[in-house]
Amino acid sequence: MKLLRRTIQNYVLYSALLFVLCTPIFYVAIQRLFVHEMDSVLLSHKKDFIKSSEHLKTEDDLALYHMMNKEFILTPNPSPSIRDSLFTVESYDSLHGAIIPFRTYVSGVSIQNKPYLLTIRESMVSSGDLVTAIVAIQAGLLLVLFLGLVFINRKLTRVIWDPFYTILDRLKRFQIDKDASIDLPLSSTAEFRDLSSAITQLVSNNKNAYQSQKEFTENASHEIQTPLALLNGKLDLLIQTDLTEQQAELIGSIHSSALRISRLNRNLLLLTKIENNQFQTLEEIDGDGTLTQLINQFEESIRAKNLVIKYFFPEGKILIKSNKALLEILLSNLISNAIRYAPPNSCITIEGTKTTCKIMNQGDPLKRPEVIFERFTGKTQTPMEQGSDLRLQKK
Amino acid sequence: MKVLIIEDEKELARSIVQYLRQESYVCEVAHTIKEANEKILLFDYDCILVDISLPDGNGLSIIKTLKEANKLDGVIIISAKNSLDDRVLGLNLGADDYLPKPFHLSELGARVSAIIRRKRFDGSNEIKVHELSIDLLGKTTRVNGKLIDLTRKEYDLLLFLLSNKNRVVSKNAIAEHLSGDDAEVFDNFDFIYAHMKNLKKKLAEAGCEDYIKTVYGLGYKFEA
Repeated sequence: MKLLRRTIQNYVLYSALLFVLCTPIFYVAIQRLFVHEMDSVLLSHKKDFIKSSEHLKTEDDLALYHMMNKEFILTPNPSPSIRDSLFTVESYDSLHGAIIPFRTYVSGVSIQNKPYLLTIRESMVSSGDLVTAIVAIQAGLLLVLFLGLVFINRKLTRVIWDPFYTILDRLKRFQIDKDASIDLPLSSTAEFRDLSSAITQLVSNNKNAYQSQKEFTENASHEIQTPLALLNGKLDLLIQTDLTEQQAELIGSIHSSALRISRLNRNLLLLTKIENNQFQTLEEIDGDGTLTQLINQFEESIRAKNLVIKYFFPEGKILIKSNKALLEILLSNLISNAIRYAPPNSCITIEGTKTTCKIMNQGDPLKRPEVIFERFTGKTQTPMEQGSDLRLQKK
Repeated sequence: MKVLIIEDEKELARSIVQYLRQESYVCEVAHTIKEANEKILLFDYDCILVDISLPDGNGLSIIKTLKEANKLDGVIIISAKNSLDDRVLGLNLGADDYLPKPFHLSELGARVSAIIRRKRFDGSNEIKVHELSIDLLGKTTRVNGKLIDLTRKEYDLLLFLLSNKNRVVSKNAIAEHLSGDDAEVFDNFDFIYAHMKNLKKKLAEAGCEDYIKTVYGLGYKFEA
């Protein structure tokens, strides 16, 4: 999810929540205020009435007054002890032609020492209208707020986050084995400046680590290969001398072991190189061509074991984007293992599609297939080769 | 035939010298770039073996010097850094061959003799041992002038043994030589025995003397 969408989504959620929560609160608050205001209006009406009722001397006066002020209803009060009360009542209003709420004030008054029940009514705005008005205003506000947020965020993303995206882009394109250093923009925002310097630091540390690891690989290679070359050389010279059968046999097995160490060392160095990501050049490779070519390299062993190789390329030509050296090592290891562990006179099936490559022999299944990609877990007495080879397969 | 060995590892240089001397090559050794440059300017060599990592710099600089002096032929790079970059760089500079350490002396012997043959015989490239003759260009083998039909592997095997004439060549070296650089070498040598049997049979049928001797437990030797 994009940063902008994420922030806006949160803002929207928050605003919507606020909207839902605030509308009833607003409604109740305004309603209360309104009623309170109306009540005080009714009370002051009553005071007015009391004040003016002093001038009402006769029944006629009263009737006249009553006619002129429709909001006052005077009824004779049967029980003088009635208390003042304020309440809302719904009734039909001829003016609006609808039922609307009236705030009503009922109070006992005495006019010329006669008890009356005074009822004052004031029509209230319908609460529905009130809610509609509040919702409308709130929605309008929300919309304006929201549009403003989106606008500001857009602007901010473009301006403030610009260095961030530049950093991200540079990081994505950075290759530790190729680029000398990472060139990050200097932002005016402190956080991004920190980020830039932290990344630059990280990159240079990694670069150093990578460099020393690479040097170690090369050094290890050199340091080990030279004595091995020496050992091999001396053995080659030793076998030129006159030897007894027993000596010859001993030297023969030393020779094989020396060879095995060299091969092991070569494989380990290859693994280190792969782990160092020193094989990053990718190219389009003719997959089935490479496979058939590699199979040809093994014709000796295939013939020796009397194996039959069956090719199966249902999708025809296969083009793979990969590192040529690594692909060849991978396939070569798979094929050589397939041959090594195939029973004599059996069949090896090679099946290749655009996404998978299966090399199957008819050997015994592995006892512990879960460790197949670990180093040095062989099935037979040649553990080192299989282990280190298969380790490559996983990469 | 003169061979210059530029290698800082003195013992390894000595082994190489000792091995190549049996082929009656005249070998000289340089341990540093400085020594090597002096020798290169003074003498002509048929083949120069250059180690890449030398105490006073990169062996590739010697190849550059040779190129400038127009003496660039018969250079084999021997390097412990079996890196593709070095190999490509070296061969691009004009080296003839690249041999990663550790190597079999017999493999080195075969490569050196291939280079020297190419240099000495310019074109009409033939090896003759009594009744046996090999045409390196046509890759054909004749016994007493009569063509014998060898498979590619049998031919390679014969040539490898011939290049290391009178020296014992180990089974390991033969296996690596025949399988090529990249192929995984198998632990059994059955395929060598099979080729050897066929080769010996074909040579004997053509009336060739049995020059190829089996050295018990170790390998084979072409004696002539």
